[in-house]
Amino acid sequence: MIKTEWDLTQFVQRPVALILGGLTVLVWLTPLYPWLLARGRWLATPR
Amino acid sequence: MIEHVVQALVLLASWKVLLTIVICSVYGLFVGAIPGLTATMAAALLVPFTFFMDPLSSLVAIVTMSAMAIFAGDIPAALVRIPGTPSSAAYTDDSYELTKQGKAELVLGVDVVTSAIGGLMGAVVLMVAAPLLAEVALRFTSFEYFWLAALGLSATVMIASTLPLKAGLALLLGLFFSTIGVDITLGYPRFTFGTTELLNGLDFIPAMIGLFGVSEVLRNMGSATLSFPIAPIRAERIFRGVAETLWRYKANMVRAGAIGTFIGILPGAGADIAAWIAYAVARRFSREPEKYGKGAIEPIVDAGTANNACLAGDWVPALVFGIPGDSITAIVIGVLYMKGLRPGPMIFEQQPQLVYAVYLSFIMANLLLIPFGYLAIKASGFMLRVPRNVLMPAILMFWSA
Repeated sequence: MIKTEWDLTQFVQRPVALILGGLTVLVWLTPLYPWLLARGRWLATPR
Repeated sequence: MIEHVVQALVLLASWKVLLTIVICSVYGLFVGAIPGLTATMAAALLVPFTFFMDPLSSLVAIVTMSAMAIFAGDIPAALVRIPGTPSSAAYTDDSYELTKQGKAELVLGVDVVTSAIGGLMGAVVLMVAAPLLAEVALRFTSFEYFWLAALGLSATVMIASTLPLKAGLALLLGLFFSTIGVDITLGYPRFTFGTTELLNGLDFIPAMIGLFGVSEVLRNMGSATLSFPIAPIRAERIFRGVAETLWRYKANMVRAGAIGTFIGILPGAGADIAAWIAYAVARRFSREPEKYGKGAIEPIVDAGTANNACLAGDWVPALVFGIPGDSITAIVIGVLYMKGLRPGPMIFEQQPQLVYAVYLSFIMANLLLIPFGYLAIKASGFMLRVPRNVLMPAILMFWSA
């Protein structure tokens, strides 16, 4: 943070950093996957 | 490369290292075979001894001990239906059911050989993947390292517990404890409350022993079983029928080795998770899934291969990025820092002979697993009869000293 003078875009400017950042966000979202799956199945069920 | 391999072989051939391998093999087998004593606890117990060892002996000690302990956990699983370490839990029911059918020797024979094969597969992947990843890691800046740490910690939170919130809070508590001491950037004391003892932060070794060791001892205090009487095993029959069984499940072994190593490379996931995932995958693709849990040999082949393959995989992020693959490699990283070595891509440039010696020690430990494992199976009656009400206070007394 100090090095970038609060320019947070620098954290995702390099390709590998962007991939790793994306993976981290995906991991944060894992608790939502079962809910999303259930929601998808519910929407797909004909009513 | 050949030059480094030769240098590593010379380092490993010293009597000190060879003696360390023998002692740690026996130690790992003993700890692994006693229910309640885990491989992580054994590694934590080794840390005070590493003070008096050179860096190579310390690393070889942990490699050998962990390979032996993960296999030895299968012995009580088969004989008394209690896994010696959490990584044997996935196939405990199958192992015990087969023992009840009079096939204990086959189960233990398959356990020891699949553990060795799994460990060797993991070692090969470590030897290939680690230097390649290290070359990529050399180009990393602080941004990539930030995301790697964030990814590792996040994956640990999600994998470690059924309640991510609980694991997240534990992570934040750990991060808070790591802030205690003098701030490296500004030199300002943080959370020291004017105490000079806290200026250096919380010491790594008491933290490791307290978190991984004492917690296991306390957990065992509630256990009513003090020792486990078992039936004698016909040791001469251990390897009978193993070759045919393994040939039948050769594809399973390759798949389980790949799963185990991949799980090992993921930060935070250890041998127990690798075994459970290999078990689940084997059941999914099995022709006889209904036999699982009722005495099938197939899950023992799969999960037994995966948990030992995982051990070497755990070393990939630890050596290349300095991020622990599991709790054992978290201790390894601490030992490396204690010895003045900094895990990361530069270790491949600065200490190649040490890295190659670690690779070779994995191969050596897994080859030695077969004879030492055979002896451990023969001695299992004695090991399982050690009363835990004597052993646990002795371990606590040792740590207090």
